[in-house]
Amino acid sequence: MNRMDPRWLLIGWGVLTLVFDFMAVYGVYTAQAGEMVLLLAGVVSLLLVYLLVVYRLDGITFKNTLVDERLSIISGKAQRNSFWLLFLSIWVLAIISNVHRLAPSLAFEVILPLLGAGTIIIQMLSFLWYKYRV
Amino acid sequence: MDSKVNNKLRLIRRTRDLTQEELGVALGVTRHTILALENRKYEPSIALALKIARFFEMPVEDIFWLEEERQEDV
Repeated sequence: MNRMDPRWLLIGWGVLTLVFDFMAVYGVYTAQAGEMVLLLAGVVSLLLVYLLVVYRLDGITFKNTLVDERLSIISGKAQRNSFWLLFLSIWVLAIISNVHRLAPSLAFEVILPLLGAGTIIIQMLSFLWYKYRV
Repeated sequence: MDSKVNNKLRLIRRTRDLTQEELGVALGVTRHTILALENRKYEPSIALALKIARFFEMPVEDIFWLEEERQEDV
């Protein structure tokens, strides 16, 4: 059984988010990083806001988040949904690039990060949908 | 989708003058799971149902029952 206190997860995530956001903005400002890193910074910041809201809503029972049986089931469902998006997207990309020979014209450096971010966003939205549909 | 397992968790909890948060702490689940149980949006595992019954010192059948059983009784 996982005995880690999620409040430490929240604090850890908050610190990492601040560091990552600072590095992302600094990287873009000094032109050392692509603008896509801002998208990732936005996603991790969004997750921090969500964790803070849940911490506020669940009160002291927030500490049971990692051992709650319903949340484990919901997490599995959300993961399944996001994986469907990932699998379908990869197949669509494979078909477009191989069947139509469009691979050289596809901006994979944009598509792949967008795919990653999209997968995470779908997982988060699915989780919220299942959790708050009460 | 609504659960096929009915329960009177909200009634029992209120009778014992407990908040959802207090019950969540006692059972090791989040407040939101208590809410989902009370609104019949979630069917608990056998372990959780037994935990609830043990906490309230009641037979599990007095707290949870199949929807069709009560319809047959009527």
